Amino acid sequence: MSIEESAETPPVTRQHRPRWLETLTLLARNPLAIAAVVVLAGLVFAALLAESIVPRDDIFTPDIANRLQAPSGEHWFGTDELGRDVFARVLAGAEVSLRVGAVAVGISLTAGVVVGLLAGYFGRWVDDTLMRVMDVLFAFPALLMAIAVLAILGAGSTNAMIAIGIVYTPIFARITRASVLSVREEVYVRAARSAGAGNVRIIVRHVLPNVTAPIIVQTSISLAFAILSEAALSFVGLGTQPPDPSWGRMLSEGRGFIEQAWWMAVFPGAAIFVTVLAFNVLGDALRDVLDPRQRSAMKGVGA
Amino acid sequence: MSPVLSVRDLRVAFRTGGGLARVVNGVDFDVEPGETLAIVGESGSGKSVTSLAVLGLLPQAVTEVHGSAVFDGDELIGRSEEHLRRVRGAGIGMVFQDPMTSLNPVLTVGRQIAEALQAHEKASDRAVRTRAAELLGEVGIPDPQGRLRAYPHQLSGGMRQRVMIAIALAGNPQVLIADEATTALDVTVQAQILELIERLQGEHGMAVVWITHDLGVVAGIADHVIVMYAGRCVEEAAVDDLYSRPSHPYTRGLLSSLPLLDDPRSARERDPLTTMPGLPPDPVALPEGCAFYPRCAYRLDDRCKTEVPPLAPVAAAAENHRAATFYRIDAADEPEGQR
Amino acid sequence: MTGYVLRRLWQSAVVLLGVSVLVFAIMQLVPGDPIRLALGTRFDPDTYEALRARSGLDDSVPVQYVNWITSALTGDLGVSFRSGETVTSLIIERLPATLSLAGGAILVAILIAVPLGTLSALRPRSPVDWFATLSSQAGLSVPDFWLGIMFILIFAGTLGWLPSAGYTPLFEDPLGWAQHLLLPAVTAGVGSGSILTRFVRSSVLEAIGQDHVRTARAKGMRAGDVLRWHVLRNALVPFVTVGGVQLAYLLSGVVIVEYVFAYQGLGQLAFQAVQSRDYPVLQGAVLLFAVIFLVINLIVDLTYARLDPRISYRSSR
Repeated sequence: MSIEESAETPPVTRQHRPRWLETLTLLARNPLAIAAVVVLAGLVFAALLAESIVPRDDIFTPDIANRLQAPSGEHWFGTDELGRDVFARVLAGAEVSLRVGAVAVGISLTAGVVVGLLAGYFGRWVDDTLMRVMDVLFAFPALLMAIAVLAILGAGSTNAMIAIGIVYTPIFARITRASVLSVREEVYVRAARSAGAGNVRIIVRHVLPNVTAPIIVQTSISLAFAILSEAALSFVGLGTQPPDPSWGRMLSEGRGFIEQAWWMAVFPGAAIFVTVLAFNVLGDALRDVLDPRQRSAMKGVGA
Repeated sequence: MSPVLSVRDLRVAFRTGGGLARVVNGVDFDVEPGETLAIVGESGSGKSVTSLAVLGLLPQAVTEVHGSAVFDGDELIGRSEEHLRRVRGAGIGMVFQDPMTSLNPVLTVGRQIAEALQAHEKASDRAVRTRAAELLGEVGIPDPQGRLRAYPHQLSGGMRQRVMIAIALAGNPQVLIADEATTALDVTVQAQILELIERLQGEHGMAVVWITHDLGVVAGIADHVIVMYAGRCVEEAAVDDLYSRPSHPYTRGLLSSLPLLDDPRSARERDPLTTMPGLPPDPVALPEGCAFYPRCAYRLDDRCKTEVPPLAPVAAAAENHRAATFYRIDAADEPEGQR
Repeated sequence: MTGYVLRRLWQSAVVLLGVSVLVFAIMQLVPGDPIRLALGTRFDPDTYEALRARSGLDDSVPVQYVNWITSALTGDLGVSFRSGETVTSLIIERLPATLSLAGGAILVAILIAVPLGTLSALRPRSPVDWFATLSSQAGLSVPDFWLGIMFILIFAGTLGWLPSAGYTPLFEDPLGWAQHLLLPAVTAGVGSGSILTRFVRSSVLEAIGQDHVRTARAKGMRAGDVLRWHVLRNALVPFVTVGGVQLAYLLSGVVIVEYVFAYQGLGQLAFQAVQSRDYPVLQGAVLLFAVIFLVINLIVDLTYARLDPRISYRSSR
């Protein structure tokens, strides 16, 4: 019977591998995901080490004699209207973008997940109240909402983090709530409840682990949007303030010199584009791997 | 009389991520004008794929079809999409399993019948509407004129299946293929649909191909039966012969798993199989010998494992009753495995 | 059906109430005296007193809210701290520009998304599909302000084909209107077009796999008719939702694109209000945007129920 048995049963992958390892293995099969991770790793590296790679002078100190120089061997991305090296500033700008993006998403993530968990788990009036508040926030155009918040708090990169964080909170709340609703009535949650486990324990031990996948996906996508928003806010002068290098700010400065010095606008914009693209691609790849419905849909195409 | 549909050595394989899935592996059958042929098998036996392959309804990009299917003197396999389109509906009509999903939820019933009418001939809107209402009346739907404006979700399952039948009749086909057409319905509705198709078959002089997993359905309506397993025909016979003398171990398994049999003296008492353990083989990795070998209670070790049994007459006297097994009921009434 | 409509209307009304409270709160949350801030160096006691009385800032907060919301309901959104014009007239003046831009952008988005999404769904894993996937990913990631600047650099600067900034009303100069609209509309439409492309692709893929498409083919329908009536017609249902949300987004979210092209629309109005601390104008614009968003979402949901006869049926049961 042995040979026939093996012909019948499909090859079984080992069941004991942890889920995150499985996820990474699947992710590593996607060349786009690998490219995105490489780009992002490079950016983090640049953000952490910018000031040790390029001299601080290149980033901050004006050098009027060398202003508006076209890209060359000495200045790869040219120089700006104050003679500062655009390459050095783009590199240093990675730090601002990633920090603002990460903190903003951290705020949305924390607030949104807490709201979503409470709403989804307790239901009834808690759900109604919290989610209507989220609907209200959601009804405002994201960027204008951030601009309005900055109008109240005042411009600056810290306030930009808060503004962006508020704007993207409803998305996390909605996703978390939807996932909680789908696991709330699962047998294991009911079993835990009937065994006398407290709400906090059930949420932490049983509900939270089951809602992580969509949240991870959303985190990656939100990072893309948060970085884009920070750049947009800085572009209109409400985000990061000079002389700190910020891609959005550099782009808006470059706009004034678009006829004479295209490089001032092209390179910071390209940096934003590549970073946002990397987070979006990673988010998509994560979704393919983590969201089983999506995954089976993709397999269905092949069959 | 020459057959209206003649299938020879039909082979269908799907290219999948895991390899080539051989779903149909050399099927032959003839459908005579006006007769009812039943194709029986579990899901995954290749019976539905066979009918879809004949009409070219499988996804072309991932499907390989070989062999021959001659309809009304005309080869269908490998023909152009436009050629097949003319045959679909007009030559061969199809009724599918789930009338909920097989009808478009966002179009009215009337429109969906009209499409079938207009696919093959030009006619005025008024004529099409009249004809559509006639068809609804013909399949036993009350107030056909009013129901033309109904959406599928506003009808019961049985009514929806009647609409499907009206659609299939619209092109006046010579052959009607009913693919698990009653499976999704209640038992009483099933009986009504069976009766309806039998009546229409008489009125229109159509041949009907019933595709089903349910031998119970077959007993009352079929003239001939072929039993499929793992993409092959494992037994074929006139319906009475099949029930009185099921000759392939798989057929016997299917019959014994029926809750009620019209004829209690048949295979039941002497058949030790009450259920069939195991699953059909993976079409990506078919066994070398008989595909039923792993589940067979009558298997002969060496030969069955290495050699595919050909479809051969079960006895010298019954030329048209054939089975693809090395085991012969007459030779041994007890299963091999239990000796 | 009516039950569904009423429930959706009720939900929207509740959210709208919340929106109005939040918009009202902008004025309350501004640190300091908003009028003094707004007037800044142009401070003049008479203007100050006049504005203060007109704005009712001496009343208690709840009274202020009730006064504000009652006036807003009658179309009175107050007066600009800067120009003294009514906020409503400022908004009406800017509305045509923003409607043109949003309309143009959604048109661009649909013209990109429907053909590209459909083609890539019909030929999964083909070069077309790869192109659609990569270009929509890129379109989603490209900063619109950068794209706008690049367009200006190329089409207004180097090639000199189109004006780089401004808005011309349609009825004054139709050609000028179109010329001024083209670059901003494409810039704003690329992002929405990318989102819609992905969406069209997945909903067409899903529609193609449905059983009823097989039925349609089995009837002998022509491939083109099957695509039109059984694939695209069904894919249209979810498309309306996402397309509507995109339109709402474009109507209210094109602040940056208007800024880049110095396009005198509502987004610019709101942004300039922030810069000049003209809070009544900011309140009015933000309120309008939120109302537009809610109304379009409501319309989309109701249209959805019409396009998919099953919706109203389910909800009425």
